[in-house]
Amino acid sequence: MSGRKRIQVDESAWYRLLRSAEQLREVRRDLPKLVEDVRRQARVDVERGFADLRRRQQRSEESVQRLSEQTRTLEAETNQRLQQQAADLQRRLADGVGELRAETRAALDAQQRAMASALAAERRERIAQSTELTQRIDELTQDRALAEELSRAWLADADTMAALIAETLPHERYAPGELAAVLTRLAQARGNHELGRYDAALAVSQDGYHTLGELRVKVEQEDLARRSWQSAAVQAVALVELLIEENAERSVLGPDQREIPGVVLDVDYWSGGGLADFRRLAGAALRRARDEASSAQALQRICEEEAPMFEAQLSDAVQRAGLSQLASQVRVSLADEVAQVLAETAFYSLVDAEFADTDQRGAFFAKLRHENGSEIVLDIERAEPDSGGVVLRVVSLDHDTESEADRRSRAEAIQRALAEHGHQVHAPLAELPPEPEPLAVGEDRYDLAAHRRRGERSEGSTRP
Amino acid sequence: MSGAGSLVNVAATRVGTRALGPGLRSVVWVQGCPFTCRGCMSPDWIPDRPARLVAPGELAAELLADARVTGLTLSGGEPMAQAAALAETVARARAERDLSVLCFTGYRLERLRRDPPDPGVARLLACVDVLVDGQYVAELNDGRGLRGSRNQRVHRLNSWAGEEEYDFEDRPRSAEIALEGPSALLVGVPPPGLLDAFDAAVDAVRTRLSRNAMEGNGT
Repeated sequence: MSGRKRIQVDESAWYRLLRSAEQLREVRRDLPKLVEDVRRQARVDVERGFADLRRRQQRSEESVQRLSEQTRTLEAETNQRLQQQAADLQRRLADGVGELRAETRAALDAQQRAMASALAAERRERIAQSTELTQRIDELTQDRALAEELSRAWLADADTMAALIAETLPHERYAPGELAAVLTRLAQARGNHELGRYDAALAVSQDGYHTLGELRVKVEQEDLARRSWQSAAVQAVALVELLIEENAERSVLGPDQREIPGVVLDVDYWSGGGLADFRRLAGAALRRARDEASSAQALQRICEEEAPMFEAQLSDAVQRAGLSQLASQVRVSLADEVAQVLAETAFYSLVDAEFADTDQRGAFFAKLRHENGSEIVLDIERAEPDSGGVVLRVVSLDHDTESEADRRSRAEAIQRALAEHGHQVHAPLAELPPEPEPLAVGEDRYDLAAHRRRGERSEGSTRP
Repeated sequence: MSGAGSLVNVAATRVGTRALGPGLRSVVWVQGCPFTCRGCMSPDWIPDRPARLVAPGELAAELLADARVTGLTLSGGEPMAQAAALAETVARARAERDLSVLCFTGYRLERLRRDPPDPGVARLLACVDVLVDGQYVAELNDGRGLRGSRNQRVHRLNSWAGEEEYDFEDRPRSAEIALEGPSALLVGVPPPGLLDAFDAAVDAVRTRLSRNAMEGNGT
């Protein structure tokens, strides 16, 4: 004698309602407009990022002109290759904006593979050149004057390359400590050169120069890769920001799948501030994506993990808002029905009804009074914040209002009933006046006027 | 459903209610009852037929899904007809958390001790803190207390913190109607008039929603 279960909604009708809420999950994407907005924003970001790169390339060309004849051609070719890579990447990023994240990532992967392939080719070429030169060292060392001249030239070229790296490239970010290690070895070579040990100086300075050349290429390519991820991350989060605004207000579908005219779902309100949270999180992610201090790994994470997660959560928030609004309608509807029946069959009349703190997302209370003065409160709230379920409590408040005559009358009725069922009653049955009993919930939970006062004081709440 | 072996034949459960005993509790209503009390509020749960057969460990986990739950309420149907499986359920749940246990039964306590209807009755009684016993008699329903009718007795077999404040015999009644998916579950011993109101309200909402759906369907 403590429970009863009824099916209150036919399955077909229920699933129709659920489908209406489910459809809200599909985040609205006005694609042409969104893509154009993201494209415009991303172009500004890409252009800003590559302006630095062009300044560096100019500086690099000036450095190449100061190199000796033996390295100038090689480095000019390398410069050309790096510039070509950067130009390709810039074009792909600008062109690829409209293809959004998956396609952009594919382009980036292809770019990465091309870079790795170019680097491998360059390494092979340099090793071949080094081998050829090494074979000639024996011949060269026979001629001290020529050896001195070559050693000085390799040391000078190494100094030029080291200065270029130190002054223009973020080498400590991508190859921490490597430049310092090469400089130490070059200092030893310079010492040998000054002591007249040109053969030793030549071997070390030549090797040191090639190490610097590889370091330069490595840092340039790591930097390009980082810029790619930065651009993709900025685009991905910018798109999420636009999706948030695009979905801030949704139309409401009825069970017939048609829009209910004039009814708008305020997603932020019905999801309990869900959109405001996303705006804050997406804003922070965009700042990190644009931050030059963010690593390539962090940018990749924003692009591949955070942005898709934001989109999924946005979808959940929109659906949650829809269910929340639906649950609110069902709350009022059911309370209305229960109140009506109590009025018709048990002589209760509705005296007041209000949402907790006048907030439609919260509990709904309806207070009914019996003609004998006793009251009950229907207290309806969501089962769980994110579920579509609701809980209706029926709380009897008759302890304080019931008259002694009512209690005596009821005691007599019970006594008669006991006797009719053959229970022996030894003494006149009398009920003691009940002790006041605290409610299980907050003391003023059912003071509806207090809810109204709190609702009026709540300046921040904006109800649709 | 004593033939179900170690499984509990469950008619319904409710995790986290304040309508059936002190504090926040989880309730299991078992399927099958040997009594046919006139005016019983749960006639669908009287027939001894398989409903949802659940292993005690699984049922215990389901009932403890809300970390705030501090007690279990066993009702039905007739819990004593499935005493062994329910005792095992309580034992599994208590291995996880300190819980009070409240049990409703149509049997009188004396009969349960003298001539138990299930081999697990002694074990279940040993873990029940408050037992509300006796069959429901509609004419003795005085609209008060956590019992259906005045003839039913409240036995405090063990006391627990907070239980002393709870007036099982004479408290104003409260109930909850939980809407989960398409079904509505009335939880608690209903105040006067509520049972009819619940049925009528559910019928009215059902009719309205079905009508809306049909209109929306163009039929």
